[in-house]
Amino acid sequence: MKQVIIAYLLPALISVFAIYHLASLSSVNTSLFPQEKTSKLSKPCVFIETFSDFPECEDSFLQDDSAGKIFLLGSSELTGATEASPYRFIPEHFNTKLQAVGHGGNQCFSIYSQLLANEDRLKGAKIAIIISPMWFFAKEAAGTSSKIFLEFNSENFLNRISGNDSLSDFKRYENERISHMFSDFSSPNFAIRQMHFEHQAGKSPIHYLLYKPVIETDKLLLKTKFHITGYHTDYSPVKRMPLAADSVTINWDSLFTFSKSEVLKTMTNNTWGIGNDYFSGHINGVSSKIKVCPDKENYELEDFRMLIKLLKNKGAHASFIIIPMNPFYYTNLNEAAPIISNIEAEIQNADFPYYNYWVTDTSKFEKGILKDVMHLSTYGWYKANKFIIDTYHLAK
Amino acid sequence: MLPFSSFEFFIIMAMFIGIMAGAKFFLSNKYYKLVQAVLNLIFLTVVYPHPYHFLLLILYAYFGTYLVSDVLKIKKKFVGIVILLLPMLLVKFDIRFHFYPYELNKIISFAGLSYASFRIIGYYMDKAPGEKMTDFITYFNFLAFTPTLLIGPIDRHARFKVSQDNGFNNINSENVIIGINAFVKGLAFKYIFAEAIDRYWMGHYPAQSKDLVDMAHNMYSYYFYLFFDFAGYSFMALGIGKLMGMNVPLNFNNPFVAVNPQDFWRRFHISLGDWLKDYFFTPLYMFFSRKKSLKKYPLTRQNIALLLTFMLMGCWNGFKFYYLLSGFLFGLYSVVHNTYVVECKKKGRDIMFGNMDPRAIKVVSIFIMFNLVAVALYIFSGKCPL
Repeated sequence: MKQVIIAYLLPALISVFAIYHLASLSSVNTSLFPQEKTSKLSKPCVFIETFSDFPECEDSFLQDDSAGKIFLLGSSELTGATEASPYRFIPEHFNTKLQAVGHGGNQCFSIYSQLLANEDRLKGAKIAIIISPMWFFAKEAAGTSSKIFLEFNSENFLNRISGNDSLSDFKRYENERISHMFSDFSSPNFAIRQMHFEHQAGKSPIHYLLYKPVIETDKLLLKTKFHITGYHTDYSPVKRMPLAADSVTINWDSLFTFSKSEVLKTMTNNTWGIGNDYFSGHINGVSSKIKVCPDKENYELEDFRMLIKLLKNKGAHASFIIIPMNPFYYTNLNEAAPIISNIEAEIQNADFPYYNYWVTDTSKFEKGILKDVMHLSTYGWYKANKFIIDTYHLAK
Repeated sequence: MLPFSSFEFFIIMAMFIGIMAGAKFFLSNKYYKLVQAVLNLIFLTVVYPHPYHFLLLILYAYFGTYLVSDVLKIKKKFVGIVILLLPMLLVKFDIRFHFYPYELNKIISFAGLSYASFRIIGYYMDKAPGEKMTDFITYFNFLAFTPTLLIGPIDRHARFKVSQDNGFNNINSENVIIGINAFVKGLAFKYIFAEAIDRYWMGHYPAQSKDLVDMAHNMYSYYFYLFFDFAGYSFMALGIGKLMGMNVPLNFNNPFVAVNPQDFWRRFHISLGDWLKDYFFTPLYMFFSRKKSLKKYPLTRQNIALLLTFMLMGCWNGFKFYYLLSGFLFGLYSVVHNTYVVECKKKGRDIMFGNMDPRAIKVVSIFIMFNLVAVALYIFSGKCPL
């Protein structure tokens, strides 16, 4: 055993000690591992399709600039900008800025996590969330996928959650969901592993005994890493500015009438209110049904409840827009109605303003609102814009 | 958390090694298997992603083996093999039942199923008729030993039991040194060499390119990566095993210097090569030997058995064309080499190299073998654009 100590353990300890001190030298560290320089913003972060593509926009999230800003969060609706997209229409007509974040798959848990990472910027933040009902059905009801989650929740964001012990229930929920998704992450980063282990440690005394040393070692290593790299977790303090109302007059009625007629001109090969190209390319007169899963298996619904709870608890000035689905195409929307009512009730209970486009009855469905079966047309977007402008009193 | 998937696994292993080393001072050897069973069970239930799946498989395999060999006393081993392989066959063939609308994969597929299946079949094949079943704890440890849980090496029950029975005695200075050496070698292979190849070589050339230089880069980088990655795992498993008092078999031994296919499989994934030889090639060869039509043709018998053995090895990874083709290629290499050896013996001279200097023959053989293996593994990778 003496030989083991002298020939193996002692050299190993000396190596670790030497490496630590060598790595602590900033000259060695920076030359071996040069930090990627954050590129200067070539344009303001108006539409952030993912944070992984625009990491330089992370600091501007939920941060007001010189004037108040609205933050629009959603999924696939936000891609494919038109003149009616809120992040183009609103800044064009008002001084108020609008930052949109999201693309397909950016569902409730991804949004929840982004907001939780920036929880001390939530108070008074003007946040409009576009809810796509499809999130709550079929395979989407299983919640945000791990791939999409990582596109919007960087290690930086997750470290903020992981290192913030004041978040109690919200952090517990985050850990639980991360743990649930854990096997889907191909090479989970430090923060994700830490959250998973913390969740695991709470399961039983045996789990605790096994995971506690792992968690403590990880914490020590993370602290060492931050010390060596000079990384700091604090970020710019929030600057919340009031929204200044502009004297802008928009003739909504004529805008609605005109845009609707323009949209309807593109829906001539069917009577379902679906754009010609989409109808001939994807639908061809064949209807579909949505798969409704029971509430207890609907992770997305639970994620949504936590999202509402977080926004309410942190005093955000949130609002919601519930997108419709085409009832001509989806023939069983009445089966989905209880879930939508549930969502509506959650929003009402939290006293957040919302605009609900959802209908189950074909006779009540306004053709032209959607361009396909679940995405807003320009006409639909103008209606959404009006709701945002009215909710946040952008016009005098 | 899967074994070796992140460095936290090593923290847990360090705890296990510490517990084993501590237990050595308080308990006698007969308690070693109990301590190991507790640790294996803790890892499976607390750390492993699908604990119940694995535990159910172990129960199924243990009682399945007992039923087939001791109760029903089925003489045809093939029937028993199919019964014991059923969970893996359902997954590999993606078989679904109308009364269960979901993919069966979801309930019986989990990391480590293939390697557990190898060991299950190994035990069943080794068990002589009338031989008493091994005790459940040993069987459980045999299938669930944490360092070899995921990707082997594929141990044999008899070997494992001997090692387990002397578990605490095996924890000594000599084995600790061997263990640390193997572990550090594995760490270097996996986290330095394989990682460097992955970062700076593999994938730096377009995968779909048919340019010879690009293809050569992709082919050689994959071969080196596969070796260092896999051998890295195996050495780490061997090292941790030694530190815990278990002799895990050596799985890689300088495969780049193999001079022929037979030599290659004695150096590369040794435990798989041995497993296939003992449990597939030999019984198949014996089966062919009993066939009247093949009795006169021993070389043909051998070659058919070789080809089928390697094709089975290809299929084992999944029913993809490139796995099958890669297996076929390895089989073909063996068939050609086998025929060459027999012909040389018949004619009493080397029919290919003649009187060439043996050292030169060795160099040429290594060069040929290295490239043939690289080609077969390139096809195995599924990245060959041809």
